[in-house]
Amino acid sequence: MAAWRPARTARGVLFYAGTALVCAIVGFPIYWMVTSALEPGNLFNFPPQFFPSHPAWGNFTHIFSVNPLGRWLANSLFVAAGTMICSLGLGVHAAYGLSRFRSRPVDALGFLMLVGQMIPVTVLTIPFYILFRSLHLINTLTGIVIATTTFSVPMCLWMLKGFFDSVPRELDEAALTDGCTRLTALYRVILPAALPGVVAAATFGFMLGWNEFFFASTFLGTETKWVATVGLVTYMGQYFVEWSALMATAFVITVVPAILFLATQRYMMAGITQGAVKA
Amino acid sequence: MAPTALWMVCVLVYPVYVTIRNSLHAVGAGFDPHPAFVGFRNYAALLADPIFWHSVRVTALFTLGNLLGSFGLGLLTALLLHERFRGRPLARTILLLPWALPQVAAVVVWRWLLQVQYGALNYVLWRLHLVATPSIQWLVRPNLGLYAVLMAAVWWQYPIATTFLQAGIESVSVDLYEAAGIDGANGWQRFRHVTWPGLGHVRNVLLLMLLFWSLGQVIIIWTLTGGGPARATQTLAILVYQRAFSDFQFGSAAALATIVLTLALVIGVLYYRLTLQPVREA
Repeated sequence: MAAWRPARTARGVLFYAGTALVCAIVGFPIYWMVTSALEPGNLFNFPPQFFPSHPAWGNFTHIFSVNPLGRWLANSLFVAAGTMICSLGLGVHAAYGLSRFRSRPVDALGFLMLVGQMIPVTVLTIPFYILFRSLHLINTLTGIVIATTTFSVPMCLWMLKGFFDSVPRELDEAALTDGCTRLTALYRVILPAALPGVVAAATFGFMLGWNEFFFASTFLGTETKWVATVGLVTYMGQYFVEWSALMATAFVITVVPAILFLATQRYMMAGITQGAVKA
Repeated sequence: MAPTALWMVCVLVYPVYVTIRNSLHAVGAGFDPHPAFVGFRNYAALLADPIFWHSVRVTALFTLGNLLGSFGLGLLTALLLHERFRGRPLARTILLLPWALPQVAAVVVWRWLLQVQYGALNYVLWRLHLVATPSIQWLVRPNLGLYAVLMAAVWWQYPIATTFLQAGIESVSVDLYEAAGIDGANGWQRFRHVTWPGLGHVRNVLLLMLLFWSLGQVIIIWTLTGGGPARATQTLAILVYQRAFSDFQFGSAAALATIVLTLALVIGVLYYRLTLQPVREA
């Protein structure tokens, strides 16, 4: 496959050493999060302790008692799942249209989506604030789902479109002659054939919802309505920072999307590049 | 198709309309239902405001740093992962994992790494004799704030670049490498004359995407430094938020937002031309 294979030579050793070094540097922050989360107390050690001596598993129960972390995680789950469902629901149909019926208005919608994806979150925070005030969606998780979906639909759409494009049109036609409507053809034939794309788009929607911070921190006033990201940042901003507990909290919040990402990374990565590069 | 179009009109076109309308009115904290029309006065005030121009400069620096950093690290890691070596799946997972972290979790970790007295980064730099003192105030000194933000942002962002470039490198024909091998090209020459030109399209798309991701990077900047110290990391996207929700100058914020929107639109047109047009012509 690769044209220049690392040989069992000095160059090969150099290659491994270099790769190990890069991995060590890039991986260190995550390693540091995990070990710091297992240290007892405040972590005020100099020099820093690079290997945990007595893992303090109690940190992980402690963080659920100092903050309503369980509630925050449940809220995050609601926002993430909601964003995933909404962006799939909207993305699948639009992507199918964009893949099969190219025309000027359809392309215009595709373009609109693209630009939408490029708008910084903060720019839309203000109009959403005004919009949600009149719709009584301030301080509701539903509002956060709606706002976040704006940003996840475009990317989901582009991922799905890439996969739909690779499904041969003959399949559509076969389904249509067998008496399917366009919609049933999409659901019964095209979607299963493009399943990796659906998985990728679903993961992306979920992760974006889980990561959401700006809308949530601006619109959610009540502490019990906060999502995990807002809770974490507020916890970090407290005057007295208990670093080990903070790292444990960050770790707990990371686990869900990280596992999801590891489980679907092949589809995810294919989806992101396919949607963006091939178009 | 139609429902999605309707949805996008509600959540995208309407907000943009509100933004442009507000930018032409004197909208204050009270959300007066009938604000006074002020024409382009909000824009004029912005263009005369040194804070705005400072922010433009910060945005340019951050974008450049994030672009070069993510692209460079992405290219390096993509080239590493292109090799078939033992332990490659593990290396791949380690190298791609930062992107899987929620941005706020990444920020929490970086806050701790950059901590003045007990932070690991200061300690390591000091032990390697790269710095004279083990207590560098990364998040306090205005000349270091941007570096701190860039470290965290690039660390979180680059795996996307890795993925893109890896896909691009894989698509370069093996024959070309073999031909280069027969011609006796060394590693660098192969990279320079085969890999790099072969990446052309992917590279351009990636650079554009990194460009708008840099413009839109707000979570890491906001939660790591809040635009500080002393406005050192106050990009346009951060300034929009502060104008609105700290200063309550919604008119000014809307004018600023419109400027950013225009910028996004320009990049969008470029991107559109790059990705969709060739397909249409084919």
